Amino acid sequence: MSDSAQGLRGVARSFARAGRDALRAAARRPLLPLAAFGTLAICLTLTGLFALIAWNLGRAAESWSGGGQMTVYIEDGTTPARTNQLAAAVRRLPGVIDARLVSSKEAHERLRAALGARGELLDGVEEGFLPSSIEVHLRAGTGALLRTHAGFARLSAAAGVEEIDLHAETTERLETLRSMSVRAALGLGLLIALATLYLVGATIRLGVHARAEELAVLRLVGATEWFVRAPFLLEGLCTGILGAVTAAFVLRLAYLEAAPRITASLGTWLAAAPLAFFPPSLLLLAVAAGGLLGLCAAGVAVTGEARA
Amino acid sequence: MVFDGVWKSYSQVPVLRGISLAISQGDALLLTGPSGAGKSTLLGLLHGATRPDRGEVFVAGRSLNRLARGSLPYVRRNLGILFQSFRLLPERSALENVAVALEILGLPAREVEARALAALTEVGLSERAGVPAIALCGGEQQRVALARALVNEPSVLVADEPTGSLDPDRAQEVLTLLERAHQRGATLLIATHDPEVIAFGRAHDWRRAHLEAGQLLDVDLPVGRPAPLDEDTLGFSTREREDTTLRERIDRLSA
Repeated sequence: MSDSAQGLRGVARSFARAGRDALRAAARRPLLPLAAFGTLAICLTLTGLFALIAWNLGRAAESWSGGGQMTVYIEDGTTPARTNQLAAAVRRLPGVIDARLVSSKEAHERLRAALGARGELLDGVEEGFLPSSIEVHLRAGTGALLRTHAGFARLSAAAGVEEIDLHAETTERLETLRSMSVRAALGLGLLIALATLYLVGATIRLGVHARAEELAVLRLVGATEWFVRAPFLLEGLCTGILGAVTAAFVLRLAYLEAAPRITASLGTWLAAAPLAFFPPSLLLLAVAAGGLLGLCAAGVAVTGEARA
Repeated sequence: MVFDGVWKSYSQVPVLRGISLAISQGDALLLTGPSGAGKSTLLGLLHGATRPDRGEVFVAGRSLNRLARGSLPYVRRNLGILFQSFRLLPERSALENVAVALEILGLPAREVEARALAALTEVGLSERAGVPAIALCGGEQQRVALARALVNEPSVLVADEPTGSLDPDRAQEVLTLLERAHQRGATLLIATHDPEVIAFGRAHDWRRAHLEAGQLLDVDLPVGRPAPLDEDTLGFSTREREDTTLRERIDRLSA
């Protein structure tokens, strides 16, 4: 057998032995791993809940801010040909990604859809009471620059243009809200992660203390630090992964229960960005992060024991 | 094994005071002395439980003072250690307790089990292999500990009051097993203040060193058993053989 195959067998045996030791220790004192698992699952559920809220808030803010950063309102009575000329002029402005014509009728239908159940308020209102417009999607950060551009001044004064709304203030506010929510999510997530690290580390350390004599004997007969620590690290990794999977499951259940009620009560506010749950790729990342957290907590606990 | 001018204190109270002692490969030495004389501390220095404040300790040609922390386990694998309190894993079976010393080597499970069972058979406990250590009597526990110490076929056996918890009959059994290991070439270092062990050692020509208040008062060399101190009997490596300072130290200790 080649050296590398023997080496792999040795590593496999080490992992199998570490797994067996971890399971045996868990069977002997089930309360400690259960406590570590429970702590991790609760902390990760809380982190996940906050992350889910922040993520949906971010999506909503992005959709609101990205929906039309400039609107060119067209005067009543402007011919379709002139409106098309104006749209072409808008498309030539710097920073414009897309410009789309919205007729008076389409604007009316949109308003009715946004009002949802209260759409009947528009019954009897003339369809053409809202002006036609050109909705312009701008590249991020170009709104303020565009205001100073000569083309913008010419467009403002052009025949058929009633008003140009740059939505700059609203966009900036939404952008600020989005970036604040992301920062808050990161900060709180970090805080909870540290608290989790401490709590799970302390729980695993209790397990290490309970097996202190066993570890001392292992060291005395010549066990390496890796041999002594591996079962704890494996336990931490598994606890982290199981905790994260449980947290994801609980969050999914909570989401399925709460999302329809939130949607019903917020109605039109969520029309542009309906509530959504984390995609599978993000969930996988969260499970991996949970495993890493458990591994780190166990690492800190056994390193402390070895120093002692 | 060489102790060269070893000093050790705990909370500024000296426990070992300038101990110099050399033990050749295949030798058997009883370290006698009253409780608190420093016997356990001296043995603790050998298996790296503690380090000397001054002086140096060599095991199989390696200075333990200069040994990296990560290398200590590999030195311990060449030492079989026996404690008065046995230090077994109480919830594990006799077989599992012995197997621990082989599992750390990463051997296949079948080989571990076969060798552990052979070691238990040697100490007369094969029929008790599946019994948890906590359910064994004192003599059986010490024999399991001895099987664990021997299963790796270490070159050195270190025992700290190995009969302290045993009745005379069980003590004789354990001493006989230790002597059998010695006959096969293992170096023995046994700390004791038990007269029966001292008598057993005398009957088997074991050397004796007497320790009192941290000082070595007497080291005897039994008639007909000269213990030459050279690089071969001390098992020095090529590098250590070239170390002239070490050579001088050995000469000094031999004198």
